[in-house]
Amino acid sequence: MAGASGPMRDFLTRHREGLLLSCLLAASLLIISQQVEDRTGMTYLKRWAITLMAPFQSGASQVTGVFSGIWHDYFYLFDVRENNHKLRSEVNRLRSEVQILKEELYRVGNLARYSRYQEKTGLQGIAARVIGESPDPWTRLIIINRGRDDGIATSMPVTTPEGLVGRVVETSPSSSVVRLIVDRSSRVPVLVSRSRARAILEGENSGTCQMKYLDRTEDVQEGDIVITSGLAGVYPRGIEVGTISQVLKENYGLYQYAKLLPKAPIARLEDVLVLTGSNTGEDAE
Amino acid sequence: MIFLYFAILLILSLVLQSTVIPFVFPQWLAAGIDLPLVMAAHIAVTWGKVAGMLSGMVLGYFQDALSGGILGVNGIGKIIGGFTGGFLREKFFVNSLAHRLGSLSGAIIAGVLSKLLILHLFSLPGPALASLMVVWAMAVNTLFALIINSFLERFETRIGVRAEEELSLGG
Repeated sequence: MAGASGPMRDFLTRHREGLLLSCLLAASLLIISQQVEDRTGMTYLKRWAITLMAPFQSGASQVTGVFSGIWHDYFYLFDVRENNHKLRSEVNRLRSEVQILKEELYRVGNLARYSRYQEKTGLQGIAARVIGESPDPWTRLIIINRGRDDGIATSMPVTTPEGLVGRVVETSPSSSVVRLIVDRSSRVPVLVSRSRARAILEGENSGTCQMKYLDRTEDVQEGDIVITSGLAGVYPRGIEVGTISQVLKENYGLYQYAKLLPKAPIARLEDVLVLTGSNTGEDAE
Repeated sequence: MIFLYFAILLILSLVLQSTVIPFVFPQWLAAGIDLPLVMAAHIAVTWGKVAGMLSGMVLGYFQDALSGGILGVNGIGKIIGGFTGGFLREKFFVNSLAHRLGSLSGAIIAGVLSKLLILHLFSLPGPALASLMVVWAMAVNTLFALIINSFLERFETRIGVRAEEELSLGG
């Protein structure tokens, strides 16, 4: 008691006998309860200890549970944020990959289509991708990613499985310029598939062409299919060009005219086939 | 000197309880006699609460240890008995037979009842609180305590240990 403060010392001095009694009784109770087992086989000391500590343990457990939850949630959220960032990057990467693969698939599909087209028509060609268009609004030209190094030469016809596109007018080692059939300076000898009427197809710089030099006595109707005639030696005969959308026949003159809607998707070309030759001569039929 | 005397008293009471009492007294009487409790009561009434409690504790624990029972059951009974005896002595003891009887019987009753309470608290086998056996044990031990206290009072006075009355914890 030497180290005890004044009031504490007074209390201990005044109640020393009571405190001694309490200590002795407590020690005896502990000793007894450690030896005697209850009906469940548990010693009283253990049972009392559990009963006494249970509320505190429960409270402490709840408190630590809350803090533990906050702590774990913090790290969990920290991880979630990091994972979220990673997953977003992964999703973006995969989306890009999917897009690339879709494009590849589309191109493979196109190439397969071209391959079937070549087999069907007996034409030989080089598939090329459209990489640009002419910036001049007065001309309708496209640039493709194949050039002299790939065996491309000027005047080679360019087509798609749907229909004729145009012809190569310039080449460089790795790219070429193609004049579309809708270009104003384009001239293509054609014939009407049904009546075999011959004409010259000229571009109109828009999405259509005009058939000129069509004899006014020829049987030409809207909806007739127009194909290349093979004259002049640039375009093989039999390549589908388009459909007649309008026939203009005046009461005078030697010729009638017709408007033609190209079969090839001129406005949205992506891949084309540059014809380099024919297995069965020059014709596509 | 006083501690040696206490040691002799304690050992003697324990030895007599286990050797002489069962052989000298008939079973109906011997079954009720608790000589260590009587001794704790005597010490408490003579030397105070602290002496009563400590001697009661030593006697009770030794009694439990020697009897092979639950350690502490007799210990608690005798600690409370010793404390009660000392407490009553402080309050009422004026060295008359009536008051001495009151203090001794208080110590005995408290000792017996507290032991019984412990037995019931821990569901240990023992007599019912309000049984005749309990009353008998209280009466017999109170009588024994009165006799022994009277005898030892004269003996202690003769050998001079009474001069060291009121053993306390430095108070």
